[in-house]
Amino acid sequence: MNTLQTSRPMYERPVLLRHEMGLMNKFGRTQAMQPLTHIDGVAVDALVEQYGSPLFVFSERVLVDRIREMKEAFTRRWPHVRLAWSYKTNYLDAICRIFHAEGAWAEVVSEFEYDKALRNGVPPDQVHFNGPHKGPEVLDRALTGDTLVHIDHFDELAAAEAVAANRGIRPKVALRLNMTAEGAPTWGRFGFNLDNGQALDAARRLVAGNRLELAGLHCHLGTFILQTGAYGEAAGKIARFANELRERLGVVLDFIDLGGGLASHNTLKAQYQPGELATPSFDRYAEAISEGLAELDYPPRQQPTLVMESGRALVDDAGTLISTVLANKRLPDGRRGLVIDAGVNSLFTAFWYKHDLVPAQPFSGTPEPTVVYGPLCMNIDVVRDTLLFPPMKVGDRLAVRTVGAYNVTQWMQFITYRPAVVLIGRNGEHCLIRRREDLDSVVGHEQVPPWS
Amino acid sequence: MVVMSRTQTRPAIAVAHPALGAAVTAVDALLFSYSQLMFSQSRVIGALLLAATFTVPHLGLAGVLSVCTALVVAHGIRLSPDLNRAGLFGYNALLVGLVGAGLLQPGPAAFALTALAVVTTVLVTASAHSLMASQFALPSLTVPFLVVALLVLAAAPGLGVAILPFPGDSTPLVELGALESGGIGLWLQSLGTIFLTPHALTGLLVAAALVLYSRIAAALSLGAFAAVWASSAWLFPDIQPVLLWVLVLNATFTAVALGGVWFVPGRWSVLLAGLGVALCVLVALGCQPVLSKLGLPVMILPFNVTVLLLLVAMRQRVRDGRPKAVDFIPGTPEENLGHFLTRVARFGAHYGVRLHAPFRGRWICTQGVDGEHTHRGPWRHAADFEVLGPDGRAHRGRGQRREDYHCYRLPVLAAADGTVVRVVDGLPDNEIGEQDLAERWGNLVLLCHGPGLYSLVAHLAPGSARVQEGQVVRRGDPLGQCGSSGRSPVPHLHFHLQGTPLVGAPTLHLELHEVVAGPTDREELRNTLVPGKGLQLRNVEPQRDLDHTLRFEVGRPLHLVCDGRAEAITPEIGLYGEQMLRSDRAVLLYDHGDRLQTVFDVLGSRRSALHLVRACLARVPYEVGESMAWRDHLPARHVLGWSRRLTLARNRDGRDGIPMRYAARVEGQRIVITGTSLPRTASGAPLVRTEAVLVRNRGIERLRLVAGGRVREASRDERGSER
Repeated sequence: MNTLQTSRPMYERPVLLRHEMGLMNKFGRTQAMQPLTHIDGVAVDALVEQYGSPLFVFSERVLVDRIREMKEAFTRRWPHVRLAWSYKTNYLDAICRIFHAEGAWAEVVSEFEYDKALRNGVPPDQVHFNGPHKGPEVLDRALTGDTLVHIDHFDELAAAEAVAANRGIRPKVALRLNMTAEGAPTWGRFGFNLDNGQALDAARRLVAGNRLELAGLHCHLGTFILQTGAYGEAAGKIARFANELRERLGVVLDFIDLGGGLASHNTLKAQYQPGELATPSFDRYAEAISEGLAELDYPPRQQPTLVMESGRALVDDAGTLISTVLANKRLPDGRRGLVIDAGVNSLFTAFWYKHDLVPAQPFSGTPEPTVVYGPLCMNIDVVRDTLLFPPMKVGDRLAVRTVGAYNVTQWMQFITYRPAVVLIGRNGEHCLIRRREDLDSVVGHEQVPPWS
Repeated sequence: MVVMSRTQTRPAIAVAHPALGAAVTAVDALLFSYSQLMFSQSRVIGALLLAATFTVPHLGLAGVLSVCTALVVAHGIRLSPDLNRAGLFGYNALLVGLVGAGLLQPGPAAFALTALAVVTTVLVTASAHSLMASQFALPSLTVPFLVVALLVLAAAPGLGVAILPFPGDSTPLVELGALESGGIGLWLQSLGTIFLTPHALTGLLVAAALVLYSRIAAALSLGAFAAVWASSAWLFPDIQPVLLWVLVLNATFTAVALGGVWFVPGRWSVLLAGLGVALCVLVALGCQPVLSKLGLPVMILPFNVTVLLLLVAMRQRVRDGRPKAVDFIPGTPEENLGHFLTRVARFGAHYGVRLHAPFRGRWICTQGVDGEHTHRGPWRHAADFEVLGPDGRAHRGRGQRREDYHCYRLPVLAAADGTVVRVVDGLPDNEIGEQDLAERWGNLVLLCHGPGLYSLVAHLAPGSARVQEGQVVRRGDPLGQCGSSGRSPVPHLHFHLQGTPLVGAPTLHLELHEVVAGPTDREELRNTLVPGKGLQLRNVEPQRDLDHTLRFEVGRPLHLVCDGRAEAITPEIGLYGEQMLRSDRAVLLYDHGDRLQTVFDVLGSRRSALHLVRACLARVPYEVGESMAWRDHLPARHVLGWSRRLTLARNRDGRDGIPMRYAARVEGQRIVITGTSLPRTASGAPLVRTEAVLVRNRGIERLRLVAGGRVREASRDERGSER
């Protein structure tokens, strides 16, 4: 426990705890919790004072370090590597532009994301367009702009061919595939199945149609996949499929896209080991994928580009949510309840992860089993179900770490407003990258019927 | 006596008017037949030598007649028109004609014999060229002349034609009094002896041609003369003047051939020339008694014997250097030197093979040449590589497991194309801190890249070998994975070059080519690099669209307008797979490699737009980044006028190449590659500036070269492309 020099001794509430045999557990000792008082050298208190609470804080340093680490891990193992930033993970302009400046293309799954990528200065021919639905208007724009459209189903193949015929162009497209791979779920709803021959049918159909050029294959195994072997298996299957396409149809691919789904340092609810221990490094993923792709039988000069569309693994570590304690209470089962000002409306990922919560100021006292609740008047608003947490006072701050992915896209305006987002630059400078919402943000789109 | 053309192409007029063109070609062939004697193809030198033969008019006339006969015969029996125009069939016939006219007792029989000899010379030249050039890659020099002349002189008495004593009845038009005697006189008379006219006037014209051809050659010639003269005065003062002339002539040409034409001029080539001169004198003095018994003169025999002997002998060396043989299309000694120096600056001096880094991504050299741990003694030319993490350390955590090291199990690649000669796999990886001193190299792959050049990667992970002995690999193919077997306390990659296929052989000079070195924000593409401790390096990571943008599509002409004149440039693939750009004015060889494109020197007209391609796109990696820059050299003689070149030479120790610094930036769909020379003008501006604008997936849009205040521009001709 921290013993901190303060001007006067802090009051420590008495706590009743079940007796445990010493402080040993099977990992050797209880984990010591460290407070998070500064992020990249900027005091959390100062940030909250300036921008309010709750507050999302992103670290540019971590963003850049992560993408460079990933890029290097893959470029050391495969001759051509391209990273495409997965917009749906976090499409704040400021965040996207940092990744684009590091050379990442964009991976988008809707017209909205496509427009956002173009707005961020990404050339249309540096966008991978995924997703089960691409409207006729945006499909036309994407294909004429040389965007790489990943075809999801036969109806979309027909629609793309219609655009090509209509415009007199021969766009490059990719086929999205799904398959079984040990250690990953089978997401049969996206793309064409590789195992039952549907993918080969689609490729034959595409080549026979003679209006589109098959430039790539794409598969996305799933999300938060901890087994690197699944990627190796998928890469091997795709490599063999690419060999088959080259032998049977003469198709030479420009790229093979293994999607994303790489785990961040978060801990899933069903996971036993914490993320810091369980999550494989980029090196391990890259090793598995490059070993799988080694089955590719291509001439050295024509080796396809390996595309990775990672989102979570790049941005999750860079985000922190700062929140303020609103109340302490004792639950009927003896656990302590902590009510904080950020709920699952802001922290959507609380449904998936055992988030890593730490106090944002020095603390003392004995940790006890605690449930952390948000401020919403809903039973589901549980930020963290039971962790050992030190006593907190009203107005104390705590930090939820590793929340950079999906929260600032999947968050909801529900019961209360969405919080502000701040970016800390590489030299410790900081600024708002998304304003806190207010009443106008919500009612601006509303309309009252004229007859009322 | 040089066959291939370096700079001459057909004049534009020959293309426009066929009749006039034929006449121009005929005159060229005549003049080049003379200039070939001076190893050159130059109309002016040809004209000077032609004039030299006319110091004795009837000999001059005989020479012209012989050359014309030879040209007509070669044309009539359809020998190569290009070789004929280059004067290949003319120069031997010229000398044979001169021997016929100068040494045979005039008369119808002598005339007929000479005419037959001239025709025979054409046939012998064609055969000798085929045999010597194609089979042994040797120049035929004046061997055809010698064969035919000795045959004729031996046959003449039998046919009732008397042989006149040299110099026969060659009275010159003008006697140059003072210049006919003394040392200078001897030199000039000796030079004149080549045309059987040992007179100062002939010698003066030949000397003028020699000086015009090359100052280095003139100096070599004077040196050789001085050596022979001085030694003759000391060793054999009673020598006949005729033999002394022949000695000096042979020595002179031997010195030029060895000192500057077939070897790159330098200290060592001068030494070789000295040896050649001595050898030449020995051959002359040795042959003379034998030949004179047969009633035959020595003529140019010692030169041919000496040069061919030394050319063949020097090729048997293990390593070509000191002196460096001219292994490119030979030109004047100055051109040879300039070309070689630029080549060394561009591509390094040691190997003909381009060696890339044997890994992907950025690694760091942890022990370089003469390293403090193991790179000592015979194994000093070696480098160890590891990978640093974002925190600047080679491992995660405490680095107590092999798996903690970033480089562990990363792929190790072939540095260049080659054949696998040795694979060791299956030795265990060491625990951290332990070493296997019995099997010091651990698991390894040894590649052969050519005669006497092998590369070794060592300490690989067990079971990671991806190749088998005897397998042919291409540059960049994976060989295995980085491990920690052998004398390796922590996972790392050991790389070196060696000269034999034995594991543990002494290392050769270590050099990597075309690698990107330096910290992330200040990278530089280095043409040659000796890895030193602490240096971070990686290979060029090609961007495929840039590769496509730079690619010249074979058979699809590129139309450029350069200085107001349209020029259609056609990309071609040569018989041996060489990539070239050809227009009606010039030819340019280039290499579109897997990581960068390199352009070699232009052969042909100085006005061709290809010179702009050479200057603006000298070398372009398929990777553009704000922090990336690279250096290269431009041949000064193609870019600058002679006065600027002189200034440059004064500042740069006579080196030919202009050092340039290039950088590239992206502007939307355009890629702009700019180059600035390191040498500056008096006002501080770069002496040479280049700018190339490429359009993504379309290629060259505009080229611009500012050199010595002169601006040249070429731009894509849209109308030409449509035609």
